[in-house]
Amino acid sequence: MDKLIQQAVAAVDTVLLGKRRQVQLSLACLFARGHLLIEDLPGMGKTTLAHALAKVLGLSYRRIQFTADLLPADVTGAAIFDREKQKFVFRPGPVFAQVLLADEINRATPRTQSALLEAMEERQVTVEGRSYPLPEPFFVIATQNPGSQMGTYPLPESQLDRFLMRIELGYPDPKVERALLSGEDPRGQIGRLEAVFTLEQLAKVQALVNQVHASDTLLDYVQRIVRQTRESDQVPMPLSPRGAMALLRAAKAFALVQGRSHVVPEDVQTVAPCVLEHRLRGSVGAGHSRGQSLTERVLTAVPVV
Amino acid sequence: MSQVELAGYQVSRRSVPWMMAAVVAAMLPHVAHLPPWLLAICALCVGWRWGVHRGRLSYPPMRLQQLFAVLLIGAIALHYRTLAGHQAGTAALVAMFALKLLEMYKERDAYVVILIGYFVAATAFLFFFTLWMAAWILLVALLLTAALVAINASLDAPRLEPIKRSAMLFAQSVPLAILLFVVMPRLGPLWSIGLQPGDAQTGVSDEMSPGSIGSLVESDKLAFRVDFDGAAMPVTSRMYWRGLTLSSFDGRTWRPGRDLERYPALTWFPRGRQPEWLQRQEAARAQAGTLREWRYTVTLEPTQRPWLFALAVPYSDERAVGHVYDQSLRAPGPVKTLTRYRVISVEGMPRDPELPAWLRDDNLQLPDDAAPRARQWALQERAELPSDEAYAARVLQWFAEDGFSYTLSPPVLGAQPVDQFLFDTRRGFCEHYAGAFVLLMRAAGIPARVVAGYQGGEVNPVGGAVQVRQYDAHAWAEIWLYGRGWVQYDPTAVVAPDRITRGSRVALADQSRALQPGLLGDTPLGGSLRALGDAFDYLNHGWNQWVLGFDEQAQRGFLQRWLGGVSAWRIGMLVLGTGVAVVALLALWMFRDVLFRKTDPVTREYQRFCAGWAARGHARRADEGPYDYLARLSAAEPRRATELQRFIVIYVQLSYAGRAADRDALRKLRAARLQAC
Repeated sequence: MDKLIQQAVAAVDTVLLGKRRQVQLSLACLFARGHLLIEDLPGMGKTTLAHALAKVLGLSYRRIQFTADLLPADVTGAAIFDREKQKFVFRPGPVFAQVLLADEINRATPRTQSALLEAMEERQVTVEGRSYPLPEPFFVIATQNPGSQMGTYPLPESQLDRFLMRIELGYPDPKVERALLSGEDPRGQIGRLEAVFTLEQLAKVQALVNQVHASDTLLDYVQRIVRQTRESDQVPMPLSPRGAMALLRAAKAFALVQGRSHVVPEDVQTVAPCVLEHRLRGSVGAGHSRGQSLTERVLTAVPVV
Repeated sequence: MSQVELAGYQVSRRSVPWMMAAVVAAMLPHVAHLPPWLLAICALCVGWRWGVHRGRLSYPPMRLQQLFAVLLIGAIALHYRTLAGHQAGTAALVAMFALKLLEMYKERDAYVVILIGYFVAATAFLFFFTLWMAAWILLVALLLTAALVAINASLDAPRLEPIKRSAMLFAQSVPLAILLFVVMPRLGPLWSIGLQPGDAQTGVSDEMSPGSIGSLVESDKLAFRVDFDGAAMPVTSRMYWRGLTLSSFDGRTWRPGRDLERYPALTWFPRGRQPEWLQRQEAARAQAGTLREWRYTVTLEPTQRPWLFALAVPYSDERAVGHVYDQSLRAPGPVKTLTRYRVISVEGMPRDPELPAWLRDDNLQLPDDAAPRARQWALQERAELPSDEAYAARVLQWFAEDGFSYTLSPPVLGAQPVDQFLFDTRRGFCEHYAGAFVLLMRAAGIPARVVAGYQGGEVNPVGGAVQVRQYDAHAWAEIWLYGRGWVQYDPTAVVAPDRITRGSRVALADQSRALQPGLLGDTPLGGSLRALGDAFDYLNHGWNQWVLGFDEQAQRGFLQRWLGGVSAWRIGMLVLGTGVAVVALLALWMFRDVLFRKTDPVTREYQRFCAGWAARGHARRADEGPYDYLARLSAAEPRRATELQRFIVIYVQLSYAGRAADRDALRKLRAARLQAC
């Protein structure tokens, strides 16, 4: 199983050059059954990453480009009158996919955003009083432009909480950028990617996450972090129990991606910025953080042992 | 922003209720002594300010306030005839305090009100010294501090935040307060004011004419309290607390013997100046080794009189206790504050086996025209009986059998009060019986005197102290018998045995309303109320003993005992040491997580490893995980990389991967550490 995981990482890595850590994190997020929010400027490879992940996991993939005039029905689907049958027929929207790429989610109005987020939470869609379950597994990989850009609607705290991780890609380093410039367009390579996992294997990996061992020493450390977020006066939104559970779950999944069957403090520290930063900061500072991030400040203040 | 601008802000609305509560609480103790009109004005001011707070009223105009202030000061001066003195001064302070409320608009005013508030609270101690008042003033200070906190608290702070913070501040200051109380030198007052207790409770007076003790019996105020060393004490019916003897009689009133006063009777230690009679008495005490000795401490409430009360025959080596020739004790001046003194009483020690002539004359003196019928009766009876003892017994028998009764409201007596009492009314209380008895003795040629003091007392089940109250006041007699010295006779005991054996509360229950058991009587509730009262009494006694009684002398003794001497540097070290201890305790509390976090052996081993490398300049950052640390160490010391990695891998296995940390694993970890360090 570990081999498969490393294979998947390597596969995605060929498409998204020089972002191994981000690839590992996003895979960990999906293994932990979490939704992923990728936040960065346009053209940084967000869509490429999402697309490559879907391919490698062997899942069906659909994409919605969120715009200001997108309506909830455009996401969930709508009941349309069928003349031949003389009745309304439900036409599923793009949300009925195993991996949904919600591109630039903060460009849509809050109404549409919440339609999607409800689907993420409930894993079903309700139209005209009838519920339609979403496929299994169901991942949302949302991308978002930094909130400081014009014409965006930042996600409220409660909806940010639905995403297990929020990652940033960042600029590639010059060597990688040179390779990009001189090589082939990575988008073209996506088509050549082959699925690494079958559905059963993916389910197995997801189950394995639960079996990753977290020792008492490590739980103590996690609790110290949680307590620090509550006692520090620099944290606008202290960590909820759900946030704490998310942190541990993400750390377990990351340990699995690292090929370990137990969590070490470094796993927690690696996933913490992705898991905690958007929860601690709330929607206030959802954009780019300046200087030392909140999570770093919290982590620095908490002794490992 | 400068301080001046800050002080110009309006007072925070959140602080006003706290402030009003504190102001009212600070004024309450003064209700007892302020004139009613002043109280009404204070209430008006408080009510007005509250109205302003609620938005129903507006502040009174400045000119009106000024006028009011001048008028009030004038009225107080008129009422007390002065503005000096603690009563008028306090009245003026409270009045201005109340008026200041009406102009409390800015923060600056609020600070002034609070500071005056602390002062007003402290003035309550000019009038009351009880534990309850101290507790109340503590509450006032708590409220004032809460108001102070509330002024500076943000508007969205929780409603009870100020009082919590104030309580926290108080709790933190407790060690310092105790320390200062114990070691702060008791400075003599730079100025002193003559404090009067609320009403001059004189207790036993130095004059006795029928009627004067009757008014005393009504009061259940505490007279004094006695703590016996150890659990043993005489039965209460044998506790005769002698105060003074009365041997001069003018036919109506008994007074202390004139010659006793003239004699250099009062003796103060040091012992070098002891008169010969006292030396004799001490010698007798030394010989009387087989007699019963009682050792006890008396805590005497203020009496405004110099008498100190003790069982016969008393002896005290305290500097402020004098010995009178009649075997009573005396303070150097009127007892104006709570006074404690230690006494040793030797029960049954012979007193004055040989009576000096001057004392004999004093105790046989009778006015020529006093009580002719009684004297005639005495001479007749004495002539028929063989001895003085038999005669005394005959008199007691007469009292017991011939229709004499005990009452608190005896009929008014005319020109020959003793004759009238003995032969006509035959109703009276201890004074009548003691006076008549002594007169009958003297008429028969037996030296006799009246003793005034207290008889009995109640044992508080909590703490075991004997409480003697004003209604225990009593008068009895002592007669001098040849070969035996002074012998105590209590004629009241034969008339009303209950008075002696069960206390005046029982004996007089139907006569005096003050002494009735109360509405609840013997119901269970009444019983538990009494138990509560006993507990309160005990608490208050402890307060008197340990707090009020901690004067310069007690402090010196305490420091001597615990510091082995009183010197500036010793006290300095104590203060410093306590300060350090308090800060250390606080630090322990604040860093309790770090200090008392339970560390398992694996973690300890890892910490030793870290410490080892820290000594070589590669300290682990607190937030550094084991693998990160390993990477850094390996980069710094590539040659040790293998050993380092081995240790870290074993450590992670044990600490994070769930491998059991059994003895074997620990030994391996330790071995790996020794190699890696």
